[in-house]
Amino acid sequence: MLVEFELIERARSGDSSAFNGIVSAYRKRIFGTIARLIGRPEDVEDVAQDVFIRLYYSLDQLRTAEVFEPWLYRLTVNAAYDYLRRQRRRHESRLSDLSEQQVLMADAAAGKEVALDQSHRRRICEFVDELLSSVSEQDRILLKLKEVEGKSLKELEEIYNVKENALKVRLFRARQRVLKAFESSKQHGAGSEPVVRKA
Amino acid sequence: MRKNWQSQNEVQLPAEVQALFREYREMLPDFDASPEFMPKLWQGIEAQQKATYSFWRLASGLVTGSVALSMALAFALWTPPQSGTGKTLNSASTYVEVLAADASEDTPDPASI
Repeated sequence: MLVEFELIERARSGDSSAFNGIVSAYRKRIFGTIARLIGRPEDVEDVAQDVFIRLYYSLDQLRTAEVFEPWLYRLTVNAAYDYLRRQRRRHESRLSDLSEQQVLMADAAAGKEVALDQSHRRRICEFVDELLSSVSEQDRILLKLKEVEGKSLKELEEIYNVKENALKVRLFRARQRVLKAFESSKQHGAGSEPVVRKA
Repeated sequence: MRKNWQSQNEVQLPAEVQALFREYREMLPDFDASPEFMPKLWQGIEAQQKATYSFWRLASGLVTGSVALSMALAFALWTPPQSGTGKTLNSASTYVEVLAADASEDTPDPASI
């Protein structure tokens, strides 16, 4: 816990300086998590605003201060999921406005852009996003929390409020899909995946 | 069988993919907000509070208005119970008394014929 239970209790009873204290303690961590979940650093602040506004209005629903962290992560996951869903809708409507030929041209231009981009960082991010596009937004978030954020099954159980076995099944399926996407990227575009630096 | 199922569920991603995720994590480290974050956050909270307050004010206004309208309509449509000739029959009247009262209204006075 980054804050004392007492601070959470004070924030619950409407103390705005206590709420400011909670935001200051957690914002850096929440910003990083959101950035990794949505993969777009430029939109992190907007999603984080949403998370903390949701937190402010739902603090009175918090059963005990002990479950504060999983609760905050649940709000973060929900806000990230809503963002990804909105993005998909926007992307779909953008594509539906274009003719088939325009879509092909856009794809070609995007491909060229990727080919031209020499940044290792960008390639890694794009490749990971490409791999994760094979799973639903919900599973993408779950997989990122597990594999990127390094959350344990126990922590995920608390965040999602579901049984461990249900999580394991979802993780298993998501991993299988990612693995399939990885294998197929290896077969179709040999050498297209970025070279990962040794840990 | 159960052991097999469990081991299936614990299948890990290949080291190559795990390393990719690790690098992805390192590329997007935790970072702090811009100085405008907190003022913007409180603006957002207050805007939502205002919206909720306006909604409740509107809702309570509508409820009060509809109650007042219902009462006005009830008052306007209310008519006092008609007693016919002005005689009122109380529940204590017997059947014979009621019949006699009715008969005296319908039957003309023999003297007037």
